[in-house]
Amino acid sequence: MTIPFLTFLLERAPYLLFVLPVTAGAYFMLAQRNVLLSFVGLYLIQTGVIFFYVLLSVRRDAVIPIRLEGSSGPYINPLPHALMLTAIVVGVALLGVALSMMRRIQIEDGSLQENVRRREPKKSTRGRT
Amino acid sequence: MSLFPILIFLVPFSGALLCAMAGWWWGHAARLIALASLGLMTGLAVAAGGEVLATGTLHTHLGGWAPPLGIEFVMDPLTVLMTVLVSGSAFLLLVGLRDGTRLEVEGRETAFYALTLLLVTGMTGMVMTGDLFNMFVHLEVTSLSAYALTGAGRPGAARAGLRYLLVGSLGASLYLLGVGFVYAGTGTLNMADVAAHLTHAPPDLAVMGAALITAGLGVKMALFPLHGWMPPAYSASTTPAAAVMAALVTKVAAYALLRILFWVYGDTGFAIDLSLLLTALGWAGATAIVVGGVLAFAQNDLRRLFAYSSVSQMGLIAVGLSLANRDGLTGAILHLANDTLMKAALFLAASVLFTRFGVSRIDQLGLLRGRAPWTITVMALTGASLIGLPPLAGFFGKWYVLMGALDAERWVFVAAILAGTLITAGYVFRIMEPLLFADKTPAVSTTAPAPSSEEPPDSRSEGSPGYLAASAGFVLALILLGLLNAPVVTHFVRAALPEGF
Repeated sequence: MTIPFLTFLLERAPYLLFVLPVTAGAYFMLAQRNVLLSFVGLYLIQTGVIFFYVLLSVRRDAVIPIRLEGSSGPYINPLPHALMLTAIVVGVALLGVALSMMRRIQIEDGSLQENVRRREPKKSTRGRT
Repeated sequence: MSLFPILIFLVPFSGALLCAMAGWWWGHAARLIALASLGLMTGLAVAAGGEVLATGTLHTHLGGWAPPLGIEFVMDPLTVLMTVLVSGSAFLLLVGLRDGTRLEVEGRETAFYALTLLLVTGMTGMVMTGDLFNMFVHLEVTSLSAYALTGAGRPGAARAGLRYLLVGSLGASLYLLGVGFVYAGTGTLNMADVAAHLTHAPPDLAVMGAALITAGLGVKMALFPLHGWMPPAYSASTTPAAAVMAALVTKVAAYALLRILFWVYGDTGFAIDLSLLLTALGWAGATAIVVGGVLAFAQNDLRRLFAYSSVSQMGLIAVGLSLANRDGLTGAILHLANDTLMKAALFLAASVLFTRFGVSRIDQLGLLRGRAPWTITVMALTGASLIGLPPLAGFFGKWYVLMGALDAERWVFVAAILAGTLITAGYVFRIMEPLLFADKTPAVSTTAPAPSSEEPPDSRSEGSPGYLAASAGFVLALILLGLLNAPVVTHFVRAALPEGF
């Protein structure tokens, strides 16, 4: 029972690059009450998905898909890399929007914690900490 | 090869860029450019509709690269319906939201119009694209504009916007992962090509891909229980931004799901068995109809109420999709159009009530009695359509879904639709009651903060001429879509359905 399962895992060991960031990201998104940490979790999940695509392109004994002198196929699949270039750009745009909103939350509420609002008495610090 | 799809896409896109550049020099330019490009886009969409009806589906190969290597834009009759709906509603909304934009986004109008045009661009791309990864890019363009529109509101809006961003981007990541599974299984990303290769794909990969895509788009279409981002986002943002987003964003996501489930997976008559996924979708939808309705009934804030009403209506659409039969799909598609028009009319009214009368909650509605006859009429007619009274469009979407549920003998879904109708009647009457019937204790004004007090409401006019025209346009569209539903169904919905439906 355990041996086939272990074999299954070991055969797919590179996919740990996908599983680990996604798991860590899910933990950050679910367990953290700080919006910055939640966003870090989201970014980890996106990174995991990017690794997933890149892993899809791998072939045994293949070379990078650039024609150089003396190199002749098999090449790895270049399409996932091209797709992920776009996804990374989207991620950067997302980072910008998220940071600007976080800055605004920090200015309004003085905190990035989810349970802190300026309207609530006593908790409002409004300081530039 | 036709130029229409790319032109329709490029008009709002260049409009957005022009807006952002010209708006900094001359403040009024942004609005003019936005209206001009959306008007032009609507015209082009209608013209493309004529060509589609005359010659059949239009294909544009971007950059001249033929699919499956290149990306293509496809316009079939259903795409035409959605494109006209998106561009026309956005145009009418911007015409009608003059007061809202003037008061609530004052000084940031350039950004507002540029973002709105980008939102429309993204949605147009989602509607027309024939490529799964391209769909992701347009989904993100739409979502990023929507996050920014949400976050740029009153104090507190940034929190709602960031929450929307976290949940929505998680949905987009799930979608992307699902596309990855589909790509791993079929080796292609073009929708038609994927459909052709699905029969040879490993079923595990294909089913996993469909499940992840459904979950991801489920977040974007606020399908219960993934709807948590929507009510805060639509009630914390400025009223114009809420109107533009509430009318369109969730519906286009539902349309994307419809395309992928039925034009990609359903095209081969579900060679990959998705019955478990469709059943789950149906139960989520049936729960959404009831729970969304009950939550709407419990709200006091008008825009939160409308947002939960949208949760309920999206549930009806999900039920229609899950039935996977001719009537169910017809009803789901019709109801996409209906809910776009109804939510546009309602959020437009909410915007004007807020900016002109300072009313944003149900317990303040008594203030309006006798002062806003036109808005009350619009809300009453739209409410009647939400409930599903026959001459109005809302009836027919619901009717087809109900017929589909009866046809599939899904009695729980039938019960949920009927119960949902009753609950809808409940919350619509809850809005209409203080507007129409006098009570003796108008103890409402004590808590009214009157946010727009710097501009005292003019008791004679209840809105700009643009607002009157736009809301009349939406109500007229609801009536026309109701009366003319037979030709719409024949030429635009059923003509586009894949074979076997």
